[in-house]
This record gives sequence, C-alpha cells and structure tokens, in this order.
Amino acid sequence: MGQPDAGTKGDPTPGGAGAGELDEPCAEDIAPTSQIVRLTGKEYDKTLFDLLGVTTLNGTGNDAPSSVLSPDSESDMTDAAWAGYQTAAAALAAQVIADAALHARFIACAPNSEQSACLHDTIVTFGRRAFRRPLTDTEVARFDSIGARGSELTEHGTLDEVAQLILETFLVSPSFLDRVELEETPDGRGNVSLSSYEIATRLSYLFLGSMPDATLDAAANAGKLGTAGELLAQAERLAADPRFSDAVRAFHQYYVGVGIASHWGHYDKSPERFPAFTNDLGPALTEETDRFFANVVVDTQGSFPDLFLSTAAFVNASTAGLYGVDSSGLGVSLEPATLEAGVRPGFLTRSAFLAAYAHQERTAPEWRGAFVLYNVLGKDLGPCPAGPSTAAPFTPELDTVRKLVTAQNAGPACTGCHASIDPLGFVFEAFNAVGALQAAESDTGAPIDTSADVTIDDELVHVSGPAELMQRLATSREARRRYAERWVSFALRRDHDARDACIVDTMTRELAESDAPVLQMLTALPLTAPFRLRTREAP
Amino acid sequence: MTRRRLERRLFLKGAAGAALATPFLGSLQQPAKADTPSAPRRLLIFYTSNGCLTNRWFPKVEDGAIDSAALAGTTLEPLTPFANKLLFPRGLAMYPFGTINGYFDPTDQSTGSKLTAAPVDPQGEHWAQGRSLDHVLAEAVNPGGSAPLVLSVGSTFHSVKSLLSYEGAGQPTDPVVNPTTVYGSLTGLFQGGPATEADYRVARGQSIIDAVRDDLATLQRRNMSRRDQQKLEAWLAVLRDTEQGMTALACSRDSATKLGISDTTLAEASATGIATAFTLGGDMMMKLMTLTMMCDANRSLLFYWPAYVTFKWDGIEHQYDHNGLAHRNGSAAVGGKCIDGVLDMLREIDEWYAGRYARLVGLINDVPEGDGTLLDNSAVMWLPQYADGCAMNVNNLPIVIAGSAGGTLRQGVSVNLEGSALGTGDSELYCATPGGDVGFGTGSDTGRVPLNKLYVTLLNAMGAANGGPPVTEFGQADSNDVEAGITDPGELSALRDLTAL
Repeated sequence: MGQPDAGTKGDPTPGGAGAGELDEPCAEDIAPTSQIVRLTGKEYDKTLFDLLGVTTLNGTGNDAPSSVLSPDSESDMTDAAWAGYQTAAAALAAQVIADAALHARFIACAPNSEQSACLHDTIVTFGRRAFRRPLTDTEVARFDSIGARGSELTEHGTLDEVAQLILETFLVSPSFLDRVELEETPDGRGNVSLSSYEIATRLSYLFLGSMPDATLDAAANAGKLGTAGELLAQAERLAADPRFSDAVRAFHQYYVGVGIASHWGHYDKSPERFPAFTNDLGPALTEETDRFFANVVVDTQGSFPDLFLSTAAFVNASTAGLYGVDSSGLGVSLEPATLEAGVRPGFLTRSAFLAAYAHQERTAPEWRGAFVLYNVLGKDLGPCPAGPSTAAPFTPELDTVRKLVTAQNAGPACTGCHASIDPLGFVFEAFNAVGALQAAESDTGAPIDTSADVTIDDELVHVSGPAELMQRLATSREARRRYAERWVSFALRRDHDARDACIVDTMTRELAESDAPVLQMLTALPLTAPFRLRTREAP
Repeated sequence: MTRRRLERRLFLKGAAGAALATPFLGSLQQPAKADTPSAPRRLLIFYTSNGCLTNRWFPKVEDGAIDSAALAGTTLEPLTPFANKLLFPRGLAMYPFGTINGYFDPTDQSTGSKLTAAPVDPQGEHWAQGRSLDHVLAEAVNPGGSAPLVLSVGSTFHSVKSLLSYEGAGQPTDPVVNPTTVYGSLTGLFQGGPATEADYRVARGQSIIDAVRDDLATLQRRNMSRRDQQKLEAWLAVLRDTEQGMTALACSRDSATKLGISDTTLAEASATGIATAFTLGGDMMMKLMTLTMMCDANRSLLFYWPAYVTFKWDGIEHQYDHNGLAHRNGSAAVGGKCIDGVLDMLREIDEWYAGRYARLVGLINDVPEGDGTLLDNSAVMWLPQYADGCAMNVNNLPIVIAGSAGGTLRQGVSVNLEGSALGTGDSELYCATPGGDVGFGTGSDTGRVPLNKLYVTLLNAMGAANGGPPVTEFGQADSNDVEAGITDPGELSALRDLTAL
C-alpha cells in the first residue's frame, strides 16, 4: 500500500513511500462510479455558501436553499426536481445581485470597466469555482454570448441584469448541480486517471461536504495532487478544517443508517409509562449522537474502539436524568458529560439508539440485536421471513421481555434469523424502552438477565452485559471492516461493491494498526487507487 | 396582492400536473392570479351539442373545493391538472325554453336562445330574436367594438338549429370554418411591438434552457455508462417539457410556429372530410384561438362543434350519429328502443369532448402573461346545448369555466347556486341492458337559476361595464314567461372573487 508509514504522518516530505509515485495494489479491479453525481441537499447548501456567501433563501422563511429542492435521490431528473433547482437559482441570483456585499463577491471587475469585459472576467473567475474546474473555451463563449445578448434577454441590459441571468444560468447548469468527472485519460490498466480538479472535488466533498477551497483550487490548478505527499498534505489540512466535523456527522448518520426506513429519531413513548420522556427530547438525542461521533473522530482524534468505548456524552436538562447525570445548572443546550465506563460505553448505550430501537412501553431486543448484526457487524442473513410481532402479555412463566421474545421466536421458521439476532439484543435489556437502566422488568418485577452467547467474528462468545459486548465490538474484525466499508462507500458516493474488497481491506488494516485514529484511515483513503481513478460501467 | 415573480415558472410547471403534488411547492405556491392591470380579459366559449351523460360528467363535489379527487373517475378527469383553475357554476338553466309564443322546438330553442336569452321566432326561419353574449361582450370590450370571433369546423348549415351567434334579432352570424382564413386575419398583426416583462422572462428562460442543454450535450459526448447516459437523457426530456410551456406572449410568426401553425399544418387541417375537421381542424382552431388571444385580436371568442356527426375518429367507430345516440335509439325521433352499447358510445363521445376542452385549456394555460398565464386573464367556458341529451333538458346544466378572468372569478371550486341539493341527473336510467325502452326520466328536476345571471357575471368579470355601473341584466327573459322580461337582475356574487378587485 502506498500511503506513507506512521513516520511520515504530518510530514509529507517527498521520499520513501510518500514520494511522488503511488503504489496501486487496488488498481486492478475498481468498481465503476457515476461520472455525474448530483449534489445532496446538504452539499448544495454548503457549496452555495462557499461559492456565493448565501445561507438562506429569501421568501422561504429563511430556510436553507435546499429547502425548495426535492429530497435527495439517485433517480433521474424530474419535473418537480428541476422546478426546485430553477426556483432556487432564480431566487439566489436575485438575492446576490440585490445585496451589495454578495454582489461585490460575485462580480469580478473593477469599477468603470467595460461591461462585456467585466462579464467575461466574472464568467471565467466564477465559472472556475462553480464548475470546480476551468471552463472550456466553448463554455466561456456560451456564457459570453448571454452577456452579448443582454439587451435582448433583459429589460434594460444593465450589468446587474445580465450578471443575474448569467448567475442563474450557472446555478442550474448540470456541471454545477452534478459533480462531474469528464477526464478520460487512461491509466493503462483499464482505468481513467482523474484530473487534478476531479481529485480536488472528491477530496473536498469527502472532508468538507462542499466545493474545493482556494488552497485546493490552487493545488489543482498547479497539478499538485498527484503524489502521495501532496494528497496526504491536503487530506490532513482538510481534516483540520472546522467544517470537517459536519462531514463526520454526515458520515456517521450514513453509518448508523439514519433515514426514512430506520428507527432513528422516532421517540414516541407511552406518556403513562414514561411521563418525563416527551417528544421534545428527540432533537437533543439526535444532536447528542452527532456530537458524540464528532467528538470521537475529530475532537479527540479517537480510534475505532472509541466508538464503542468512549464515555463522552452531551446532555441537557431533559436528557441528563436518563444517564443519572445531575441536571442542575443545565438548560436547553447540550453540555459535555462523562459517563461511567462500565455502564455507558460508546454510542450503543445511549438513549438515542436505545429509545429509538424500542417499542412504546417495552424494549425491542430483536430491533436492537438486528441493528448490531446488520449495521455494526455488517452481517447479511439474507431474506428473513417476517414473522408475527405480537405484544404478548406477561405470564407467571414468561415474566420478562426476554422470555416472551424467546418463546415467540422458538419455532423452526424463526430460529434461522433470530438465533443470531436475539442474543445480541438481550444484552441491551440492561436498558429500558427509553434507555434508562433497569434491573427488573417493571411490569412483573422479574430480574433482568443481560448475559448472552453471541457470535462475533464467527466465534461464539459469552458476554455478561453491555460493557463486555462493547469490548467485543470494539475489537471485532467484522465491525472494523464494516466501518471501513461504509467510509469507502461514503467517499466514493455509491453502494458497496464486491470489487471494493481490496480498498476496504486496506482501510481496515489502517484502522486496526495499533488502534490508530480513525482520522489516519481517512487521510489515507484519498491515496488509494479507487479514489484517484475511475472505471466506467460497461456501456 | 404581492407580486411573486419567481413562482411563475413553477406555476407553469404546475399546470403540467406533477409539480403541484410535490410538498416543497406547497410553501411557495400561491393561487395564480394575473395582476397586470393592463392585461386584457377574454371570454372563450367552447360549445358542444346533444348533451352528455350528466351523471358521469359532474365532479363528485357539488358545492366546495375541486381537486383531483373530485374529478377522479368522471368524464372531466382530463382536467385534473387544471383542477385549481376550474369553476363549476352549478344549478343553472337557460330561458326561455318550452312553448313560447305558441312555438316549441327543443333544438331550435336550445341553440337559438342559448346565448341570446331571447325567444326564437315562432314563424319563418325561427331565428332568435335577440343579440348573443359574444356580440354583446365584443362590442363592450374589443378595441373599436369589433365583432367576436365565431368559429366552427366542418360544414355548418345556415339554420337556427346550427347557429349560436346573433348580431341582432334575426341576424345570425355564420362561423368561420376554415383555419387558413383565421390565420390570414392574424398575420397582418405579426410584428415586433414593445417587448413586455413576460417576453423578457420567456427569453431569459429560453436562454437558460439553451445553456443547460448545451452543458448536457457536452456531457453526452463523453463515453459514459448507460446509466449516466440515461440520466442525461431524462434531464433533457425535462427540459423539453419545460420548453413547451414557454411560448412567448408574442403576436409573431415565431409564436405561431411554436404552436404548430404553419402553411403545411394549416393545409392539413383544412382538408375536407368531417373526420379531419374534428381532429386536425378542431385542434388547429384551438391553436388559432390561442394565437388570437396572444395577439389580442379578439376578446370574445366562440367555438362550437357541429351537432350532426357520426364519430369515426381517434379510435371511435360509431354507426349512429351523436344526435341519434343522445336519443338512445339511434334516430332523430325520441322514445323507442335502446341500441346496444349506446351508453358506452355516449361515454366515448363525452370523453372525447372533455379531452378537447382540456387540450384547449392547456394550450392557453401554457402561455405566460404577466405574473400568471394567458388562462388566468381569461374565462374558457364549456357550455352545452342540453344537460342530458335524451331528456333534452336545459336545467341543471353541466358548465365549467377555466381561468379566473384576471382574478375576478373564483377558482378550484364548485358552487351550488340554487342552495338545495342538485344531483347529477340520471342519464343511465335506461339502456344499461340491450333492447330496453327509452323513457324521459334521464334529466333533472333541479337547477333553475337563470343562465342570464351567469352571463351578467361574466360580462362584469370581463370589464364590460367599462368603468360605468355594473351590468345587471342580460337577454329578454329569465323565465319562460317572456312577457315578464328580466325578473331577477344582478350577477352571481358567489362566483366572483371580489378580493381581487
């Protein structure tokens, strides 16, 4: 693998493995990527901020520009989506021209300069940033011609009117709305070597979730993204950018599967059973999760095991009680807290997960277990037939949720999947349906059993409770590999592909190496062949 | 009203249907009302003969908001994209009708008195004895008071049974049936007048689309995967849709071309034969009416489909003419035996006309004007000869108006003007099974509010008062007692959007 050894970290002086030539062990079988990847709503907003200085859209109640876009989608452009882009572009262009500061930032010319020259300069300068590469002569001519026809296309043909039209045009251009990879230079092994502009764009959207900054642009212009040293220097610089934290949050939402089909964010609990657990806790729990991951990966430069072992928490007056933290002096905003390592290690022992993956009154060991199996260990059991999900009443024999679930899933049709799922979930029975500790089943008073035999890394191991399970997950090969695999998919903006095995293995090793910081893996990722090369799906 | 310039384009797309349903538009979308004070208002009457299956035609909502659900499964389902621009004035009847001055002929009266609200002459040719709405309006609102544009297709007869438009008592106006003639009257108006704000907006929009298309074309020339190529294609297809909604409100040969009006298509549409007249001819007339409105060559337009035709086009293959089918027995007589499948045949015809009306509304709605579209400054009214063609009743008439006439008519609503339940008639009472007897119970007992009042409402909405006191009366009688004259003057305020005034 071509990334520098630990010794060169932070010191990307050319030489040794960090020299100009990159080894490419993963260049043989690269999974195809799209050449036209639509910006997500978040990327769109961040890009507009960096490009124009705009954060909100006038007339929408100060919502982000993406508030008028259709939801993120990989699907084809639709009438509705297109109408959204057009609306946003028209509004943004008008806003920029009407605001003196934004105007000055967009229009690149000296006062009193001739209009066509001024527009031309604006097109070249702004276009370089909007398209994330220099415009071709044809493209410059295309935009120049809008300027030339200004009096036909606008009422008075003034500089501002024409500049607004040019800006609006840029903002609905596919080359702006899509991350486009046009380079077609073959690498001799069936791949295409991305241009420095395209690499800069991949780097920037991975680390910042936005367009390249001036430094990255300058490096791309100078063709200085071709060596391991140069790439690593940029990756480390970007990872130190305050905006990196947002990208880390976005990744971890992807990692834990926040989305329409998941339980995350759903916190409807029985008000009789949990009067203190009101719906307004939801945002605080969601924010806590985001901050936890940012804290581990960015603030403390933590390692993969820290995801499962860190005691860092962020609580406010409403959520502190869930963790037994003194809430005095706390208000609405989240404040850092440290939890007990033996009780609340890592993100899986926090209410955001535990309450989302539970029913309104009772726990849901199957949900919790399945989450760990699929999202953390990356196990795919194949199709599991959906069985009845009943809320059977407790009986003298079946006096705990664990016993009820065990009895319900004992049939031969169920054990195929539930034998793997349920034991993982039973360990979390230490926490009730809102994530507070429980020692006994509240309905029956029966004692809670949190020990289980679980399969991790193809090995059946006995764990006594959550803390031991977290220790196992923190050192699990499967869990590490899954985490690396998700980062690779996130960085390359596509689903996992079997051909990713090489790069995923490489990243997994990076994570495992003396429990190196997650950051180290991330800064190594851009050096790999699949990040710098692309292949095309057979036409 | 606040001007919301930026939403116009969305609004245009909304007319295509899909965009209206998307939640993100909910916060931005405002009911489109044209508020350009100078925009002219136009009335276009789209007239069909022989009644319809009223029970299928009416929306499911009699009094209340009209949305896609209210139109689902009805004859008017093709109007779904324009649901929020429709107004159903429910419960209207035309007068005078019946034995008037000792003469009764339902065809003569339902046609001759329809737009005149005057009795037909009991003697001679039975011409109507009054001036029709299109002429009254044209005189009031056309520059110079010039005559209305009266159009039809195919061959028409100079008979009270065929003619709707009357310049004066006993003075029917024959329609123009040749598209080339209509076009010829417009070409003299083609020129570059001062460009309007809407013209610039269209030009800007076109410029943007051209640039986006060029960008996509550049990407298409790359050797991309099939999936990527497909995405580019889909984007281009969306651009084509957008573009079709961007005809400039310009009276120019270019606009004519964009509408599909050329020497070639005019020649094709003018070819002889009733099938051509109803298909290419009718479509061309709709385009020409749109162009007429764009050119502001006339603000009072009347288009009617001939009554005595046998449908043999667009997948319909009937053996009986529409009039005979409406009677359910296949003949000009009434009563008798049902012909097999007659209800299905009537349904086919009703749906065909609904499709034509939707097409016309769409054409007009695709033309931007001011902050809205040409439709917003117009009222496009579908007016029928009868309600049910078997009962030949002219009460509880199925009427729909698209467009707000400059924000003066309510939109997206059905208004029961009578107050009590109207029902939808019982057009399928007979003939559900072959060989049955035809009776006369297919009509309605309800819906007796005088049509005169709708005409008064429309005249005021069009600005026919010209700054003077509002129009309060139309025609010679609003009941079958012709001697009594107009007994219930005034407009139908329940149809007016007075907030826009």
